[in-house]
Amino acid sequence: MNAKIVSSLLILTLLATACVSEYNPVLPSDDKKILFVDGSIIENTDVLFRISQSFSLNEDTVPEESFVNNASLTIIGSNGYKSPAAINEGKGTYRIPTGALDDDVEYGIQIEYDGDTYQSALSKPLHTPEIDSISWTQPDSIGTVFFHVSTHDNTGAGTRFFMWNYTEDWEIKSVYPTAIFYRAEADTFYVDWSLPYYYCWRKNESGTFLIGSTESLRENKLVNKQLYEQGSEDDRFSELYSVIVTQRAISKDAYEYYQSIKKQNEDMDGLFTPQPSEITGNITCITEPSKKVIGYVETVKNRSQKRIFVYPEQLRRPVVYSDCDPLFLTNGKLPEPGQYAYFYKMGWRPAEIDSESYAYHGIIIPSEWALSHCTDCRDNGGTKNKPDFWPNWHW
Amino acid sequence: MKRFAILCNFILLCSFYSGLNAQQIQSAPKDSIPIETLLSFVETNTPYRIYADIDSSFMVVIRDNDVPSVLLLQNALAGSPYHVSLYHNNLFILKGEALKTRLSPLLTNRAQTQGTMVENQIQTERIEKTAFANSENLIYSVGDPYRKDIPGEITLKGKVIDSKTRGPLPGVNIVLKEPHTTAVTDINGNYVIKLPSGRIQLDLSGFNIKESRRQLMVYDDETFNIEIIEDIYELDEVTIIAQRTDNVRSIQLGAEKLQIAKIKNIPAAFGEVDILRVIQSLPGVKTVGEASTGYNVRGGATDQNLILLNDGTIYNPNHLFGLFSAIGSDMVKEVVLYKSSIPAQYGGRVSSVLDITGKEANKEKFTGSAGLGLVTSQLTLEIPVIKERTSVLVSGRTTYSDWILKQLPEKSGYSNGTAGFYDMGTVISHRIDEKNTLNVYGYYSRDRFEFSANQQYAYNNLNASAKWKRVFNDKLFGTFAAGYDHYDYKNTDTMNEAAAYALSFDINQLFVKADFIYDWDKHQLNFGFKSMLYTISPGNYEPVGENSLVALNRLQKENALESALYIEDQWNITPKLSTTAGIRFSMFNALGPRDYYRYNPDMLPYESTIIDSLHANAGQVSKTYIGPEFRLSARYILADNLSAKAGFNTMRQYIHKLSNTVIMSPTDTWKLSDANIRPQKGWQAATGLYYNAPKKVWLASVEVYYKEMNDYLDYRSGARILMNPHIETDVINTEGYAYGVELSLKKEVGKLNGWASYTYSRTFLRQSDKLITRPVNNGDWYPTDYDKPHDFKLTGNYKFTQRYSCSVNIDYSTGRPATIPAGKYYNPTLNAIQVFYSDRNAHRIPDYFRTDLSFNIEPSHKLTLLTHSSISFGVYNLTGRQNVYSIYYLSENGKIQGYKLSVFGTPIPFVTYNIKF
Repeated sequence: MNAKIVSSLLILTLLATACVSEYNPVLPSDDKKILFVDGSIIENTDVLFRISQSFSLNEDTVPEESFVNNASLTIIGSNGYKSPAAINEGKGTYRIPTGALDDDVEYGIQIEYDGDTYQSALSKPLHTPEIDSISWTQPDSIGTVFFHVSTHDNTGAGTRFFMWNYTEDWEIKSVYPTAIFYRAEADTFYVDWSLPYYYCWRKNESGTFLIGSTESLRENKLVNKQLYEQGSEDDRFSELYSVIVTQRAISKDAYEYYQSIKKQNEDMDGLFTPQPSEITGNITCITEPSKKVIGYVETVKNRSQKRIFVYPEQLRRPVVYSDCDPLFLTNGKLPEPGQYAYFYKMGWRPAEIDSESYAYHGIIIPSEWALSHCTDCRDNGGTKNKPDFWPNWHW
Repeated sequence: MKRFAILCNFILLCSFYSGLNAQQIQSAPKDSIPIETLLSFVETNTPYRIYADIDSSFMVVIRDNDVPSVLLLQNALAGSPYHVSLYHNNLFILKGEALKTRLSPLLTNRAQTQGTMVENQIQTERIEKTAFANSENLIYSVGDPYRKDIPGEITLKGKVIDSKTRGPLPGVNIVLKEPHTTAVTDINGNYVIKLPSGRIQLDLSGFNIKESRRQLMVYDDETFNIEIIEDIYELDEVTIIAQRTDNVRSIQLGAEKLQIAKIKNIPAAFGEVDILRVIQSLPGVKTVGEASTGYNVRGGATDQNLILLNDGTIYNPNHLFGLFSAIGSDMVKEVVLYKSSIPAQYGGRVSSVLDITGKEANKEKFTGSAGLGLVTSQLTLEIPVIKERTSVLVSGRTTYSDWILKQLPEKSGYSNGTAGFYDMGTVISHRIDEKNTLNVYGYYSRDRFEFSANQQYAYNNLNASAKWKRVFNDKLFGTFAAGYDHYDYKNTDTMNEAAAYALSFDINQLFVKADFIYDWDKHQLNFGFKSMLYTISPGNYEPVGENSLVALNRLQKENALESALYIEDQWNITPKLSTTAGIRFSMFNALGPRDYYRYNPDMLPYESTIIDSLHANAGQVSKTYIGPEFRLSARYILADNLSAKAGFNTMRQYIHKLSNTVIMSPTDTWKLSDANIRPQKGWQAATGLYYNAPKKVWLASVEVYYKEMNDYLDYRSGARILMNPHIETDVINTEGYAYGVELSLKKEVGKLNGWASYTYSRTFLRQSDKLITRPVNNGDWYPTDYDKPHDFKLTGNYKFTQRYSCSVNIDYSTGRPATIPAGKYYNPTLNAIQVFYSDRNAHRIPDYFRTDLSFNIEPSHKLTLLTHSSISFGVYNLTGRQNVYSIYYLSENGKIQGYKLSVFGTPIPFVTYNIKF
């Protein structure tokens, strides 16, 4: 009897007991603006540095005035080298071409802004080893796809800390290849046999710091270190997917800096979260040391890159259902006046390649219609900017 | 009805009606007179009718100036085989013992309900020196009643034992009301009390017993042993008071004593009686959140609390990430928390001592208990091995807790996990002889949890100890103990085959100690020593699997010896003024073998400021810290029910927990002081007023304290805590202070009982070291994570009947401080807005409020039943308030979103079923 009580109460207790909810209190805004500097010195590259100011927690979007456009940025070297000032391109962006970097010279940047001088700690150029491979696995059938990187450095001179970023490109297509298009302003149709909105391409860049270390390993070698994961149902894997991973060597100090930033922005949700603390980086205000700056500027000789493609037939994907049932409008008859305009306004589009059989006195009468995103890949976030390297012939 | 039936029998036995009432005797007879003369005298001069059954006449002795009374008769018949019983206005004088035992409870009950001390039944019984007085109603004759010169003052001494376990009962108050004289039994149950000769009544009270009395006729210095009968009505235990020794009279400040049997009905999350949760309901004890059994005492950090289980140190008292305490309540007899006056026998932590004493098994008969709850089940067996001498208690608890994990938020990372834990304890107690007892204790707890198949965590506590108590003579008692304490954890991560690793930590501690108590007139001296040898493996990082490239990394072991010598004198200067003065010399030797660094003394330790590398050989002392700790307190009785106390303590701590989370976490490690890590030091001054309302219906107290802490370890930005071979480069010494006032009100008796407390307290830290270039909050004071100024707690119980009762918990406190972002910036590389932090603990999370309710039902409490079961059910967090555990900000999809996390955000119903046999 008692066991019964226990089990029935167990069920009662299977209500969610814990919960996370959004919390946006109005917080005291700190009037003190602090400077944020982003960028690194890379040999023989037109490098970009971005300088901005912090803004209040209560701002939801990036205020235009947070971009710092009136600073002067130069690259300096421990041998007395000083580059010409970088060119401001607006939005707080500074472009500066770097020449060849001397392995024995320490480089950094210097910023003059608002009467103060800021300088990054000088560092010698780091060498980045080659990426050995980018690989992926799908351990569970129709499950998540994991992407990995492998690299090693046998030279003994390289660092044991790495940072990656990646750019994804993938092809998508709409459900219906469509050659007939409605021109709303003239209430007429036209035909484009190139199927212009059938194929599209999407792009995404890594939105988080990806860092790794071989410090605790016997060799300076990473094997299949996980970079990111993606559900296999995603449209990335519907037609053709490609990713290019860029690897850069970083110093131990920089590794710890990025790790702290990452923790404080992405991992604050556990029960055992460390107290957040002030993070600064390697830039200081040399004229007024109490002024805080965030940013880490390092010098690298090179970066290494690797690209892979993933074809849909290599994966096991779940069946993705769409809401693309067609609507048969006219059945070969002439429409009522204003009928096309009305359907167009309601989000429907012609969804046919061949409508000749429905041509009536030379006028195209598309019979099969579907919702816009079923006929136009641009409605699914795609663009017609086909990457140069894309192996498929179609446009 | 029953009473009437007994009465009838009683009267039938009165075969003899004394006709002596006709004789007129006006003055009291002198010295030896015939019994008949006395009876006649009493009957004539009192309203009583006397029914006597006397075989043959004998002479009785009465003293001068005695007025005719029942007492006179009773005194005169002391030592004779005759007993005096009173029923209304009838006095029965009978030989033999058949009547008294059956009659006494009934009459006693009546007497108590009337609140008078009627001598319903008067008889004296001579008691052997080795026997134990166990009746409330007998009058025990102590010494030779026929002795010529009975002294005016008599010293009575003896031992108080539990009638069930035959074990000694420490801390029992023995009180003579008029003239007011008290004694308290020591750890061996022994007491000494000075009394006037003649008829006296001693009132007995204490934590482990039902209040009772013993009636004596005292003629001489003698031994008088007392046995206290266990209360047979289970339901009388449904009082949830944290009963203390008479708080007005004890000398200690800030000591909280809890008897586990009395707290079983406090509602708890998942229906478990949880020692550490109950501790958290006491004034002056705080916690940062519900997912933690780590607690903060009077502004101290969680690692500044010493947790002792039968003398062994428990390093991780948590099960399941802190949702449960690792010590099952059924193996515990009592718990004492010292938060201010810490006796000199304890040391090694700056804030508090929690002394948990295991239960000894019943030595008379086999008993046990079992409990079935939603999350755990437990079984406790008490097995007598040799009757009255040896017994074994075994207690075990296990869980089926996976379902709780599913309730945790998806984002916490635990919801896909599995977890399990169990713990077990054993107490073997053996009475060697009258003067020697030996106890052997064992405790083991294990936790394991998996976030996924590739991430596994496990930790273990193991303690074993032996304790020998010896009575050397009337004045000197000794306790000798030795033991081994162990804690370890091992975390395995095989997510990436090439980087698969196992990280482990362990701490081992061997200790020996000796504690003595010496009674010397108005002094009680406590002295002894303790020595502990530590061995810590601070971290082992090992490869897992053939393909792992992880390099084996073992941090060098830490060894140290901590020794302490103490002496403390409790001096009852006058009946009103008592003091305790103690000193504890503690010495800490960091031992080799060990390589360590010396740093530039003018700079903070960094890898770049190392100036020398040193080596200590095995057994060689690399660093010694030595210092005295003072423990002073005094009590002055201002009025009968009112006293004032003051105390001052200093403490030293040589072991530090390394953790930069606000609560106890599964990867916390412990670090010993060494050449570069100084011991923590602290002092506390406290004073208070204590008031007991007449008959102890209400107990009220107010305590005020101020304390300071030095060399508490805080962490530098981005500190590496795990596998750090030189932690001194990642920590910073911090100083702190705390102050507060604690108001407490208790009601210990009546249908409604419980306690309420309000605390106002603050606690702050500061990084004042001049060497720090950028201290937290610019070197200003900042509130600690557990600085919760207002705190109100109420725990109450209402007994509807003996079988039904209801308990409630109310807990309110100011929200704890939290560090929130100081602002945002845009990171173009990630195309995301990110946050940065500046001042620590500048914001507060919303206030905390929770109400719990439980009902307790005892289906039957008939004594004849083989088993006694009880059911508790109730609701934790009745109002379902989503108390905020933490607030945090995440950068998601390029934007910043704030969140609040509640651990138990809905009402949680629970039920537990307990059975005793």
